[in-house]
Amino acid sequence: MFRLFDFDLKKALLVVFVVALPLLSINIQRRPDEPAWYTRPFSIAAGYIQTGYTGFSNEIRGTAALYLNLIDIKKNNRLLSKEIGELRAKLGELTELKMENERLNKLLGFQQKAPMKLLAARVTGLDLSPGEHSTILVNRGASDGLKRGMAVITLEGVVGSIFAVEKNSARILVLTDRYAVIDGIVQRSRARGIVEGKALDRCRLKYLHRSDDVKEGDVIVTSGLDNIFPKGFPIGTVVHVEKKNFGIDQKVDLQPVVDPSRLEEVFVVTHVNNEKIKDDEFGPKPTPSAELSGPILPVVSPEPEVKKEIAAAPKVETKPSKPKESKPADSPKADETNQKPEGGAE
Amino acid sequence: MTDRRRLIIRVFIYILLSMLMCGFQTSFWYQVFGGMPPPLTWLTIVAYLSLYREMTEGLISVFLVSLTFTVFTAMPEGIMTIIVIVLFFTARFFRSRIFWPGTTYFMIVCAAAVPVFSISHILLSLYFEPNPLTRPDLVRWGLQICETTIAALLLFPLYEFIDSWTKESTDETWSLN
Repeated sequence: MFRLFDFDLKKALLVVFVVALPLLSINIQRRPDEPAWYTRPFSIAAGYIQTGYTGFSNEIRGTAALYLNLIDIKKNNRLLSKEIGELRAKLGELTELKMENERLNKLLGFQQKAPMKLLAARVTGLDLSPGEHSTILVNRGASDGLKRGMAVITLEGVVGSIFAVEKNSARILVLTDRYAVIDGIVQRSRARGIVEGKALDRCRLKYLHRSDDVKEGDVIVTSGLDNIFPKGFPIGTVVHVEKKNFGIDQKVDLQPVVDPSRLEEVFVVTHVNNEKIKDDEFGPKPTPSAELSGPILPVVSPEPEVKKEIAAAPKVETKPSKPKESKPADSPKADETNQKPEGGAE
Repeated sequence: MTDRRRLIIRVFIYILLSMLMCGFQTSFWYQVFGGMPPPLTWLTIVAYLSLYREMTEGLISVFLVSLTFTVFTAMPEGIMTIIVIVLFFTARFFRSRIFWPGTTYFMIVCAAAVPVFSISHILLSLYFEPNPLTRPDLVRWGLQICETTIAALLLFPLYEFIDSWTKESTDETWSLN
């Protein structure tokens, strides 16, 4: 039976101390920017342990696959050869498109985008609590130049960002994790919002105004404003839009383009060079009546050289066009001028 | 070997074992079985330390192993530690009410610990996190209960062996206080 006043004070103090420590250390808003010093040795050891398990499991998988796949090797070989041929043909087309794109960009005077610097990494582990959190561990770390906050992508789209780095490993917060946030825009209407993780297979696009145009099937891409993710990279597809009769925003659910549970290799963006954001890149400039405490969208003033060009450009007066009288002799010439490509691009 | 030295070795072994269990769950299981929910092998360590340790040693041991768990997950350290302490006191409470030594009891406790862990995580998330857990995955819970029970059946002899090697006696000094 318990005796209320017959207890060991030292043990009681120890229990109170141990219980109070985590309560004091809870980070209510977000995980702290830097991991605690007392967890560093465990992080380092965890990286080596998981790498060891990965190597061991690879051997097991290789042995099993060798015996299971012997039957299908010939058939797969034929299919793969055919696929390689098709891909080579597509590669040729894409090369042509790329060259044409480069020519058009030069003609229109766009700034040449510097290529992204990518570092390939292999996924070696998942989160300890995969039902509640979504993280992956990769086999690259600080020794390979990785830093906290770097973006991680695959060929299909955005994966997430690095939130913890050790010497030879890094842990990535996948976009479906509840702590993940990515700046995104609707590709079709250019409406801007914040993508937050919601569940293992869902994200949510938040802070969209009710008036923003978004519908099911729209693709959400990165805005590039944070200069972490490359601009225009797919994040997900809209699967559900909830717009209530009251309120100022709307809730949009997304299906991520990348399935975190099937990742094997990812690319870490070690350097990204996004275009300078224009004034009306993400919609019309807000009118004075719509401004609350300041500009809603980031306003980028044009460079001085551009201002001088605008000032020096001759003013073109547009006169209201008179209805032309139909003249059979003129119409072929008019058609010819309309069909000529601008800038002489071929 | 003195008792103190045995105690230190015991704690160190369980910390190492917890890291190996977490690595198995997060790396090996995923590489071999893909997206299938893994067994919560780290939970069996918490359950064993709760059932077969004195209050002081048990509390310090689970506190230290909870630090090893946090490096394998995005869960905040404070929330993980509170969940582990909740599991610790819940297991001790039930042990004080009903207990029989052996693998069966350990399997039952481990099976019950899975929903306790998930429910306490949801409650803490609702209270402390800005983007809390909203929908529990009941299918995942069911699978993990079955898998963790099987893992407990396989791991209990290992824990008993470690204790037999590092303790003078087993279970004679257990008390609720």
